[in-house]
Amino acid sequence: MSDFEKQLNKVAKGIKLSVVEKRELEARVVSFMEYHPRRERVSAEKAQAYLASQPYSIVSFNNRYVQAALGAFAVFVFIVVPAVAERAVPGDVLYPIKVRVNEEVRGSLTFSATEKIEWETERLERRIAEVRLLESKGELTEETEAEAVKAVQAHAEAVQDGINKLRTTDAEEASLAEVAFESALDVQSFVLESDKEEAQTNDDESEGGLATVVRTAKATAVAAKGDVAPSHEKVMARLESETTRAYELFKSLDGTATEEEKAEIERRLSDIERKIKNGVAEYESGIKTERLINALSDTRKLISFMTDIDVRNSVPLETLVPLERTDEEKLELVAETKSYVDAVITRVNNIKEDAVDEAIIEKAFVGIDTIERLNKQLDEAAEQKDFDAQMQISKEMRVMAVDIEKLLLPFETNVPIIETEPASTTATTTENVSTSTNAVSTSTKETKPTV
Amino acid sequence: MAYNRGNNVGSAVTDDQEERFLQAFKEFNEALFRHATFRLSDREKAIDVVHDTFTKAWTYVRDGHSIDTYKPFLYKVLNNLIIDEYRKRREASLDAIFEAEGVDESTFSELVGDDVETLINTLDGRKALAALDELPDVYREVIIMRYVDELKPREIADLIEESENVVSVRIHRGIAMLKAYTEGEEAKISNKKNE
Repeated sequence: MSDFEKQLNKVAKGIKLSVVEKRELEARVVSFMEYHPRRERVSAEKAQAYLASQPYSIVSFNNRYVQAALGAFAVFVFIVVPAVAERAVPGDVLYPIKVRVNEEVRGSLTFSATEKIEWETERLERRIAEVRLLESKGELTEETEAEAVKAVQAHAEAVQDGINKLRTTDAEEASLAEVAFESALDVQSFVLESDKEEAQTNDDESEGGLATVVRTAKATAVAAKGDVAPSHEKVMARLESETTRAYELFKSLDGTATEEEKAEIERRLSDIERKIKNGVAEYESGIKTERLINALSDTRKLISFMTDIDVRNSVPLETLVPLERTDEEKLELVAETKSYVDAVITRVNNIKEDAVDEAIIEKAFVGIDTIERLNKQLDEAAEQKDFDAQMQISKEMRVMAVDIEKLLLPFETNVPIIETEPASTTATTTENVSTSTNAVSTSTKETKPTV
Repeated sequence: MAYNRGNNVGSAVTDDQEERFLQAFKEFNEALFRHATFRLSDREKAIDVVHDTFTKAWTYVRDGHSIDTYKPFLYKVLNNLIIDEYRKRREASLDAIFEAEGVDESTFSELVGDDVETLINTLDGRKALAALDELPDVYREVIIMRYVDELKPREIADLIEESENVVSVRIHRGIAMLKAYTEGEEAKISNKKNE
């Protein structure tokens, strides 16, 4: 091969459609096919051969009006009916067309195993949404629900089969498909859970059948998980395409989401970016974590929240994708907890000894000892700049202080009520935030009343 | 939804055509994109012409025609779309000059000299690649088809509706132009140094 050909080959190899570009191109072409269906014209030869084998005679229509009527009928059958059927719910006349024609055809247009898995997942989500719609209208019958449960089960099994098959050819891709499927099941679990809460019932029969199927599917997916973790490059490539999609969806939210929802979504997007950044830093330092996989899962859930209005109306974003606090915010929360704990300890010290039962005072001081021990651990974590550990320890301190407060409350007189929850969860400044735990009183023993 | 998948003969034919079309999309989208990017030097535009290529092919199929072999069909449609694109862009380009002068391809005297293999082996790859954009499209087209898409001269001839001889002459001339261009550039640089 000449030098020129080598150079050309080198450049040619570098010219590739990105994952996103390919997906978009594919979607545009398939959409064109859908909107421009093939006319049912058969070559004369084939038609003749086929019709000759049939036990009836050929009837030809030469009348222009008859042909026009047939054309209109074909448009009605092949375009109008399937389009209308898309909105059908169980019990509607067109529902079988939606499920057995439209969805089957769309499924046959999926190219790769991953796309087939995604499509079966979407079908599962559709079945749940249909049941919820009927439930909200008060039109859900036992029979319909039982059929939906069966269908959800079948789609979940189809997804799991697809993942298992994919694992034999591309284990890394299969593990990414697992992440996507589990995220979808999580979202559906939350949605069904919210319905149960709304109905204020723990009865597993009302929509619980579906909740059980979804929970079982999740358990099966977790149990069937492969050992092969996707490579860093694969995860990053998937993150790139999913976050790009998330940002595009975010841009298109104008008019369909409230300003508050948009602010919350934007915050989650920046949380995901931060997670990715930290995950990459950990990978480069040789630390193995699940942070990037978690970021991928969060992105999928966020996309569900943005694309599915049903999900948006049922589940708070905080439940779906909990806020990932910045280091500054974590420090602020720790500082708030510490001031709360300090206040509780001060209150203990101010209680008159004869006003409290000896056993209770004893218990309270055991609690304070524990707080002091945790306080030392908090100092160590602060020195190591381990923000997550500081959060965890301060949580334990808060739990302990709340218990002490409950214990003493009946004996206190004229004590102002202290807030038990942090006042702010979204602060972004570190100003005036103490990073030392010295403020927590450690002198309680000296003032301990003689009992 | 667009497709009928019943059991009648019409559906069977339709299914087959759809599957073949989708298979062709899967098989050739990347290669067509590469070809278009080389020819147009514009990634976005390349994606658009590849999209248009497939929609035109589908329109042809939906009109009841059958495509026996997708590869030449798609390349031919793509090539026509790229030429349309050039027409939109072209003003005082080299192409226009060549077209005005008329390129005589009725005689093949240059084929008697160095053959393409000899010529191409003496090219400085990196410089020639850079010079590719300077070639009139009639030459760049056949060179990309030959060396990027790895099509045979006979296949190229079918695609651009010229004889195989014309294709061979264009490849030869194109490579010779690249050589002249790269050497000319070198000469310019050495002249400058001498000055």
